[in-house]
This record gives sequence, C-alpha cells and structure tokens, in this order.
Amino acid sequence: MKRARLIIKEVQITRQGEIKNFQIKLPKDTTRIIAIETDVRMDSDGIVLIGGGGVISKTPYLFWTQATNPVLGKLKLRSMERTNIFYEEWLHLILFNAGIPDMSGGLFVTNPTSLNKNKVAKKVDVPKETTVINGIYNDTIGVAVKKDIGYTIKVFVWVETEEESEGVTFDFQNENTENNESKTEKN
Amino acid sequence: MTKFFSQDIDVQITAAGQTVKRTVELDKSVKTITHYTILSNREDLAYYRGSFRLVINKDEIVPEGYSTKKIMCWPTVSADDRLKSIGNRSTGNGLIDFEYTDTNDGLTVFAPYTVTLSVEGEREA
Repeated sequence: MKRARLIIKEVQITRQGEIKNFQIKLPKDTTRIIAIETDVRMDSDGIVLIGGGGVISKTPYLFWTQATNPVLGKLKLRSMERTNIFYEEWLHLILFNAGIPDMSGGLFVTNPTSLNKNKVAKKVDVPKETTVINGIYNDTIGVAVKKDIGYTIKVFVWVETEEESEGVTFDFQNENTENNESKTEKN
Repeated sequence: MTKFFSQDIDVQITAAGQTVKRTVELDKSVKTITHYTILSNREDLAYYRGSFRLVINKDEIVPEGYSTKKIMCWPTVSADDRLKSIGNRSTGNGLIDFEYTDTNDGLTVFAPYTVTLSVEGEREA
C-alpha cells in the first residue's frame, strides 16, 4: 500500500455572506486524492446566535437543550480531472458538548453529529493530473443572523503519494472502514 | 513474541497562543507504534483551541495544524475505538516529536492546561 499524506488549508471568513475562492496545492508525488476532512475554529469573540434561538455556550454544559451543531456555510471542492464538484459539505461547528448522550428520553432532537463515535475522514477517489484543487466556500450563518462572524475553516486533504507506506496505514485506508461505521451506527 | 506497550507524553500550556514542542525517546524494547490519541485535563480547551504535529522516527504522521478535534472523542466511545490507528509504524531511532499549538478561539477563555499524547504499540517481550 502507498503512503497517505495530509495537506492542510486554512481559509478565514470575516464578513456575512462572504464567498471565498481558494486553491489547495498538491505535492508533485501525489497520485490521487483519497479522503477529505473539515474543521471550523470560531475567531469572533462573544456569543453567536445559532438556529433555533440557541446560543453557543462558552463552557461545556450539561442540561437539556435544543441547540444543535450550527451550520456555518457550504464548502465545495473541484478538481481539474472531474468536470463537476467531487466533494460538497455543509460545514458544521461541532460543539464540545455534542457528545453528551440524550438524557431527555427522546423529548428533544439529539445532535446528528457528535463525539459519540470516533471520526473517520470521508473517502473520495480522485485521480490527480494537475497540482491544485479549487475550493469555494459560501458563508450562510452570517446571513442568517445578519452579523459579521469571523471564523477559520480548515480543509484536510489526504492524498496518496508514490512513497511506500512503511507500515503506516490510516483508518480510512482500511477497506472495511465503511462496513465498520455502519455497524457502529446500528449498535 | 511481543507485548503491549503504552506511554503518555505530557505538555503544559501556560500561555494563550503558545506552541510547545516535546521530544521523547522511547525504550529500546519498543518496536512499533500502532495507535495514538490526545487527552487533556481541560478537554474543552484542547478541543476548541488545539492543533498539533506528530513525528515518529523522523516520519511525519500528521503535519502542523491538524486539529485536536479530529482525534478526540467522548468517553461514551468504547475504549477499543477511542484511539486513532496508524497501522504499524516501526519506531526506528525511538524518537517521538510532539508539537502542540494553542490558538485563540472565540468560544473559550484561556486557562493553563495540560495536553497528553498517548501512544500505544508493541515491545519485545
């Protein structure tokens, strides 16, 4: 098996409704793109209003709440080898307290994304001919709350290189990862 | 015949925005590293503010800037599934470089905290 390497791209969003175009440069020895992960870090101070009238707490809390992981915007990634977009995601801020199990007996909707399972990068399979990926990000939370909210999005691109793996195999390279995931969800 | 090996590497974060690097030399009997995870005494701060770089035997497993968030999971995840697998990396010279960066974040207020890199692997019996 070939070695997977990680490319990290950070993009700062400062204005409501901002649309950012960016490029992610790939190393020359890349053979294909194999997985994508994303992350968000809030740069704005203070409390930010989110959908449903909830607020993002500054500290972890333990009480019944309807607040879900807020959606911040939409990310699209496009490679020159594919005419269409190969990766698209509504970016969520995954709250720290999202891992607390539902103690309301099903009364409130639980967070769809939480820390209740280990995260695995989302698999893609994109051959690589050029050295860049084009990215587009569209802010929606700023528009929803009519306020400039500053945050940084991080895009983690896992690429397969020409190097030998030397024993290093990440979880998403395991062919059974998807089966394991669905098994975990059923449990 | 190999035996299970585990070691924790602590770094203290004393100021906001600080980057702390720590290099640890493993015992000669340790042959491979198979899993790792990040723990903290202030999990909320490590979760929202942390990023790191991990190098084993001069081989960069993850580069600078990888979010701690991607590694952490809640204790409700079964113990077997909490750690990130990296296959079976031989330790070679036995050096592990761990570089942790704290970044200011709008959701948290800084307080000194400790971050622990926990690695698991195999050692000679």
